This record gives sequence, structure tokens and C-alpha cells, in this order.
Amino acid sequence: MLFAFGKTQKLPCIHTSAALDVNKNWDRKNLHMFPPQQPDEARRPAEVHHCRRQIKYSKDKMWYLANMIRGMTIDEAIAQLEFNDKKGAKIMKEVLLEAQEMAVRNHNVEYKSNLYVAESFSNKGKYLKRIRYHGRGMFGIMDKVHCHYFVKLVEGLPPKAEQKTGFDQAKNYVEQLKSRTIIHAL
Amino acid sequence: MMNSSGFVCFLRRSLLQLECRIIEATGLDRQFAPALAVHGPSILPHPHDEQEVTSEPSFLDNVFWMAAPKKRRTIEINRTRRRDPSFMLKVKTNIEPCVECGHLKQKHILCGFCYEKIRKETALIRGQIKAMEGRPLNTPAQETLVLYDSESPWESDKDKRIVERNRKRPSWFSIY
Repeated sequence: MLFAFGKTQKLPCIHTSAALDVNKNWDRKNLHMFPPQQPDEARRPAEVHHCRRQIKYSKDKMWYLANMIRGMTIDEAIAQLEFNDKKGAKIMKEVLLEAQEMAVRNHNVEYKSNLYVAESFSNKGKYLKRIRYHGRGMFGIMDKVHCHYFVKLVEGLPPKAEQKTGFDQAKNYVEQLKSRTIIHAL
Repeated sequence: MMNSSGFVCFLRRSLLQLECRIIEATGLDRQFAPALAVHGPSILPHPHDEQEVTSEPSFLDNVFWMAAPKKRRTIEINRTRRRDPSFMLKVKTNIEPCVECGHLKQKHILCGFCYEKIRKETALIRGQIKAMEGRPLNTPAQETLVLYDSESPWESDKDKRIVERNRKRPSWFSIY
């Protein structure tokens, strides 16, 4: 009898509920443990993964906000989101503050301002379907959109984007043209 | 004696003649129109028929003249339109910390935290005034003076009505 209670459901089930078939990979990234570092290795910066699921907002509209804060320091990102008028900005700010709190409490981050947004993206959540009534007895299926938002904070200063001059780009282009070869030659 | 080709020709001619005779008899060859164009009241009544048939062109008739996309817009074309710099969100450069409380504020807008704090105090003062007046539209024709703990009015303030608040005067509310 005891075994029956302790057994996990590994049987193939035809009907799965909504809670069973979602991806929890992003949350599991926080549980990943690295082996202890060697003394000569460079210090590995602390990382926090955080997400929020089933936000009542469109993934395309969330993308604009996620794109804006990508690569910013966390203070800058929170400031920008505070004064942005979009609905997703308020939700994203809460997620960032939660992640910052988690980093300081659980992930051995010393200064809460010493974080930057390494990854930030949104994708589609589960949509609810409703009927939208048109004229002449026609109808359309209306999607009640939801989205997920994922963020990864890393300790330290954000990496500087390389400033490429026009001359450099032109030089690279010419080198690429020069290094072309004939494919499938004998 | 007729040969086969001659017999066939004879049959063909006789059938054609028979056809002409039948058409003549039924009257299908006759055209019902005057040889001359006559201008006047015509025999067949046409005019009031045209007035009856005035149904509005339905939606489905006009569909052929409406603009419609010729081809599906590919995801590459859609992406280049949606990710155009005009749609991308602009980073604001006018955010600075408030001098009083340290919360962030925009340069041309009052600090939200400070405003909220003043709003709360004002609401309490208004509550006191409401209790003093009793009913709406009972405001006396006098100036109002708000006094906090251990404060007394000046001589120049004797004509004003006084609203008492049971707390220390806040630093942002100066007496003068």
C-alpha cells in the first residue's frame, strides 16, 4: 500500500491537465550546481534565472519591452520600466525586483546594484479561445492572449558592445569577398 | 437508277427544304420589330417596369471592386516592419532621483512619492474640515488656517477659521 502512494505517474496518459505539460526548464536553471572552482580560474559571475508565466499580455508587445532592457544594468532597467506607459512594463518591473531579491538572498550576490540583464525575452503562453460575433451570422474565434516572460541577471558590469567603424566594416567585407573559394571543385 | 452519292445529295436538299418550311410555318424567322424606328407611345408597356426594379446593390455584388491583398505577407517582411526603429521603444534620458525623498522622478514632473505623501495629509485635513462644517455647501466666508500641535494663531490670523491637526507639523508644510 505504501508503495502505491509513493509511486510517481510514469504511465503514458492520454489526457494531461494544463499544469502537467508546461516547461519548467527556466526555473531548473537556478538549481544547477557548478563544481568548485580551481584557484587559478577566473571568478565565475553569479547568475539568477527568473520568469513569470501566463501574463495577460501579448507576446509581441512584451517583446518591445524585453528588447529595450536587454543589456542594461538592473537599476537602469527598473528606471526605464517605471516611467514607461505600457501595461507590460509594470509586470516586468515586478519580475526584475523579485529576481534582484532572489539574487541577494539565495545566489550569493553581494551588491544588489551590481547586476545586469544578460537575457530577457518573452514567448507565447496558453491562449483561451472565445467567440467574436460578426454581422450576418458569421463568427470568428478570438484568442485571449497570454505570454511568459524570462529574465537572466548576471553579476558585474554589462559587456560593452564593440563599436565598429565604417572603415572596419568595409575592410571585413572586402576580406570576405577575397576569401571566397569555388565549392565542389575537383 | 440513282447512285449513292446522288441519293445523299437529294436527301440533304430535301431535309434543308423541310427545315425552311417548318420555320416558316412556326413563324420563328419573323422579327417582331418595326422596319422603321417609330418615335411615339410604344405598343409594349416598358417604362413602369424599370421603376420597380430598384434593389440596392448588395454587399456581395460590390465585393469584386474592393481592395484585397494579393499575396500573404511573409514573416520576414512582417518582422522588418514591426522592428523598424520608429516602433522600437525609446530609452528615456530625463530620469533623475528626487532631492527630497530619493525616489526616481522625471525632470519635468513632480516626484510621485512626495506628491502621494502630501495628498494623504491633505485628505486628512479635508476630513477635519468636513467634520467641522457638518453638511455640504456650509463653507464660511473666511480664510482657513491649519495649525498643528502646540501652535497658536497670530494676531493677523484672528479672522480666519482654524483647523486643528493632532500631530507635529510636517517639514514640507511651512507656516508662512
